[in-house]
Parts: sequence; structure tokens; C-alpha cells
Amino acid sequence: MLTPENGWRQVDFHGNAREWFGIWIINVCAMVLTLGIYSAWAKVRFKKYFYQNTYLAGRNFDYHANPVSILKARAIVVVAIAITIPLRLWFIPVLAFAILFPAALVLSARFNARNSSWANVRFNFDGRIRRAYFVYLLLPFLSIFTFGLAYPFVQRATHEFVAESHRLGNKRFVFEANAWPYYRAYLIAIGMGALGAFAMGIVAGGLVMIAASSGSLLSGQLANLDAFATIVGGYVGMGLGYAALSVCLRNVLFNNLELVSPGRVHRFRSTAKIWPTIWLLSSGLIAVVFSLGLLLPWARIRYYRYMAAHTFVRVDGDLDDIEGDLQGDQNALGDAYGDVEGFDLGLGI
Amino acid sequence: MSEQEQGPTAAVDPSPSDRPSVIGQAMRSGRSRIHDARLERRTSDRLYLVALSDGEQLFDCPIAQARLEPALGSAPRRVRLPGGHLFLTRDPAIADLLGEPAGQQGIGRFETSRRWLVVAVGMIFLAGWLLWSQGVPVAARAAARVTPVSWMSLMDDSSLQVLGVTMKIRAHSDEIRQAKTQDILDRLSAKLETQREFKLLIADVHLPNAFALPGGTVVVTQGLLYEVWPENGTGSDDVMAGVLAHEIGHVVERHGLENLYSSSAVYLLMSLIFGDAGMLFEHVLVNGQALLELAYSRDHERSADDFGLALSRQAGYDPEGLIGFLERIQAMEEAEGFAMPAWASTHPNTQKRIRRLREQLQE
Repeated sequence: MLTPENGWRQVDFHGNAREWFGIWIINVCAMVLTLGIYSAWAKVRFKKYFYQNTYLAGRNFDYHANPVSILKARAIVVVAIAITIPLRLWFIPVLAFAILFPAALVLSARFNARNSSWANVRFNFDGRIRRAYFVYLLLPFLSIFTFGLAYPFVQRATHEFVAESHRLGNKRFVFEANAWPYYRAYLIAIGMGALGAFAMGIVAGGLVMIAASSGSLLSGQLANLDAFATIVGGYVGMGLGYAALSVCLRNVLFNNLELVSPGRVHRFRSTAKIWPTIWLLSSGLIAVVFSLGLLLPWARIRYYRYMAAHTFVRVDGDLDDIEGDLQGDQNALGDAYGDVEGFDLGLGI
Repeated sequence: MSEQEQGPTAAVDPSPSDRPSVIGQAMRSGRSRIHDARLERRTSDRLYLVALSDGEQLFDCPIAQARLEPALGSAPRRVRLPGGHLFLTRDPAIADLLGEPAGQQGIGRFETSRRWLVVAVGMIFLAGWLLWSQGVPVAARAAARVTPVSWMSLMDDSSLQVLGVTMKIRAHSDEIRQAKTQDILDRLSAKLETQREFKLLIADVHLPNAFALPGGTVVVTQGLLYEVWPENGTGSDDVMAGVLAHEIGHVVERHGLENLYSSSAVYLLMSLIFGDAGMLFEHVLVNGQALLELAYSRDHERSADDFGLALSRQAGYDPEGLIGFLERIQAMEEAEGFAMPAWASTHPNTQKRIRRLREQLQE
């Protein structure tokens, strides 16, 4: 049982939708008025709000990145990509991405870790770029030859790389997991995906049958509806599978994570559930679409609050002995490349 | 050491002081240990940090060196002290203590005012609509105008490499029909005001179709060749001339480039605004935009129709050929019940196109 009596403490999140709506809408407004230049400040404000409202063992997090560094890096990345647009020989961006992204991931993780703090202690990321190429390029490539059957091992390797490269001050994170929970995660995701696609297929098929029996449709329209149902089913299946996978992987990551200092081991647990998460995501998505985006802050806060409430830490003794002298990182290039191309380490809180 | 979930102000001051002070939590530079502490102003320009437990003086500095971070929602205020020490408090009196001007500072002023939030929502919708309906198309058109032709040829090459994966494209196919097509393409392009080079390729696809890439590569499907000349290349050239002239219109007026630029710009804007929303959300929002963008490309189709009509006439072809072809397509669509609703189609409704072309011919 994850109760205070057993030493387990929940991660607290004090943010609320009303407050975050105000900050978000002003962010968006300023971005539109400055044609995107403000996005660097918006990012910092976004992270600061969520970090400062997240408490672990009575102390909150904070984000310290300098918006000017982020802006400069984003300008460089956007210009570099704009220059290559006319050269969109298909292999150039793909090749550039393949060559750059493991390095960018490491730079980005380093930038974000060094600019994040808990209590008054900075995180650090000291993963090697060479190792990132091995984990993010070579291993996935090799898993092709197993027809993807070894992919859960690759996933575990990325978790291990990310987790063990992180430090909080002078304390190291340690990660040790079996392969089975990863196979379980992928099996569940595939099952959920198939289930979603199948269920949607039945619903759509039923609608087509009703329409057909009323005799008001021509054969060509039926074919169109059929194609439409297939596409919708595919999307629903993918959405369910993706949601299930991310919940399972999050749980595996936290449940096998430890923060270690001499004579002490602090443990983590994540107890997020698949169906509640799917409900949060799908109802949130519908609300966002029908509110023309205005309910995005609400959906986000709700999701974040759920994840925080299902994250626990068991502090061994106390967390008072964590120390570190690191003070930030100004190289935001990897972070900017990740933002523009849309990738990150894929970790929640 | 006590830990309070609700933050620093819950602590009780054991030794109240008559000097201006604020109670909170302090952490030494790079240390996680919390000290319940009082930040005190003893003289007009000096701050003292005092531990609540035993009254020990932890730190002192000139007031000018303490930096109060801007307020962010209801999160505790953070005071950065020289040397990396940190003081946290929920007591609003901290503003007074450190001489922060009254009222919310900076952008926080807008974030908490209901009136400003309503203004912001209105402004975003207005600006978003203006940008989407006016700004982006104008900018995309301008960018398309100034793009050098050599860049566009490069783009064609890369597009063809991608297309080659999904369909077989070759330079040589049915010799008679292809030669006729090439001949028509040459005759049409000779009539253009500014000369452009066009390259004809045949795709191994049964559905009758044709499309053009920005750099002047015109791809015609095998199906179209047989549709136009069913019996070994005999029959009128007017249909093919109509189709090719329409595609030349797209190339000359740079519609493809415009689409590319505007969709990239909108994608960039969307990911800026919703970028923090997560992959799934972004996917849905960006795809929704693609659906809306179809209306935009229907203007292009009309414009290419007009261009094609004028060009094929100039080159001596009978525009009735294209109209007849469209009528055949329409009959086919009706017979199969295949008509897509107008909003879902990139091409304007066939019937509408026929009507427009006919009216122009009557002028």
C-alpha cells in the first residue's frame, strides 16, 4: 500500500485551471502579437508554472532557462530548416534528422536538466552522445532484424539511458527493470489498439448498414462511408494504443527508479491507470476541439493533476542531504531543435 | 525539520519582531535542506535571514542584491539572494519588504485581470483569423513569386523520389499516345508569355488523372492516355490539351508552392500555440487545419481552369473538348453515386466547373 504510514508520499500539484488559463492566454496573445518571438518566454513561463506548483516531499521544482538563449537557438534552427526547404530532396532532411537527433536529445536533456531544480538543487544530465547514438539509432535499427520482437528491449535501454544519466545535485538515479513489463506494455497497447479499431469498425459498420437498409444511398457513397469508417477506426485504435502504451511505460519507468545516496535509497512509484487516462485524454480532446482550443489549459491541468496524484515517492529518512553546485546551461540548440521537430525524451513529471 | 505541504507561511514565528519581516523557508545555495526562516529588514538597505528555530542569523546582504522573482499565479514568491541562496514565501508582504512597486508587475498584471483575459481571447481570435485568411496567403503568394525556378526543379526531383515509392513513373510508355501528348505540351508551352520548361512523365496508374509539380514536371497517368485516345491514338487532341493547359496554369501561377508555403507557415503557428499540448492533440489540430485549407485550393482550381481555357484556345484547340471530358466524368460519377460533397473535394464540384467553363465560352 502506498500510504504515508508506509513512508510513501504523493507528489502534490497545486496548479489550477483558472490561473493557468490566464497565463496561457496571455502567452498565446503575446506570441501572436510578436509573430512568435515571445514563444521563448512563453515556454519558460509554462514550465515555471507547472514546476513551481509541483511539490515533492514539501519542496517545489523550478525552471531557470534564460528565454534569450532559447530564442537565439530557435532562430538558428528555424533559419537552418528554412534554408533547406528548397533542398527538400527527401533524403536530406531524413538523413539530417537521423544524424542530428540523438545528439540533439542529449543536448536538450542536458539543457533542461541543468535548468531545472528541486528545492534549491539543480538537476544534471551527463549522458554521453555516443551512447545516445547506440540507444536511439543502432538498437532500433538492429531490432528491425527481429521483426520488432526485440523492440521492448530497446525501449528499456532508452529508459535506462535517460534515467541513469540524470542526477539531482550530487545524487544519482539508478534504474533496473526486467524486460517483461515492457513486453506487457506493448502487448496491452497492441490489444487496446486492435480493440479500439474493431469497436469503431462495428459502430461505423452498423451506421452504414442502417443507411443502406433505408435505401437512400448509392453504392459509391457506401464505399466512401466504408473508407471513412476505416480511417476513423484506425485513428481511434492508434489513439487508444498510444495512450495505453504511454501509461504503461510511465509506470514501468517510475516503478524501477531509485535515487541513491550513501546508505539511502529513495524509491518512486507511478500508479496511473489506462482507462482513466484514456478518459482524460479523449474527453479533453473533445472539449478542446469544441471550445476552439480555449479549454486546453483546463485539459492540461486536469491531466497533470491526475499524473501527479498517481506518483509517489518513498523517502528513505529525509531528503535533506542533497547538494550540488551546478548553475544552469545556456546552450539551447538541442532543445530548440527538439521543439521545432517535435521530439523529446517523452517523460512526464 | 518540518515539511509543510501548503508552503512556507504555515510556520509560526516564535520570536515576533517589530522590524519589517516576512516568514518563509530558506535554502542554502545548492542545498535541499529547508530552514524555516524570517527575512528581516533591520536598516533601510540591509536584509537579514534569521532561523526561526534558534534565532541564529543565517545570512545578510544589501537589499539591492536580493532579487524578487516576478509573481507567477499563486505559487510562492521566490527571493534569490546573492551566492545562490533562496528564500520562499507565500506572504504578500514580501513585495513591500523588498520595495516592489504596488500592484502586479510585468505580464502578471494581464494574467490576473478578467477584463484583459476577455480582450486577449478576442484579440487572439481576430489576429488568428486575419493571419489565416489574409496574412498567410499573401505571404505565401509573395514567397512563391520570388522563389527561383532552379529551386523548384530541385523540389520536383525530391517529390518524384517520394512519388516513385507509391507509383511507377517512367519516361517512356505508349509511344504514339505519349508522342502526341508531348506534342500538345510543346504547342501549349510555346504560347506562354514567359517561357518555362516542361517535362512530361507517365505514371503507371489506371485511374485517369494528371498533376503538375511546381518545377514544371507534368505527370499524366496511363489511364488518362487511354481515356483520351481509346483507339490507338486516333481521336481529338482537344481533351488532352484542355487537361494539360489546366496543369500548366497551376505551374505558371505557382499554386503548388503557395500551398507548400502556407501549410508550412500554418503548421509552424499551430505548433507554436499548441506545441505544449502533446503529440495527439497537435495531430488532430493540424489535420483539422488541412481540411479547412481545401477551400483555399479550390480558388486555385478555378484560376487554373480560366488559365487553361485561354491557353488552349490560343494554341488552337477547342475548349469544348475539356467540357465534354468533364461531362463524361460527371456522368460516370452519377452512375456510380461517387460524387463527393463539395466541401470534401479539392476540385470544385464537376458540375460547377462545367457551368463556369460554358459561361466563359459564351462571352
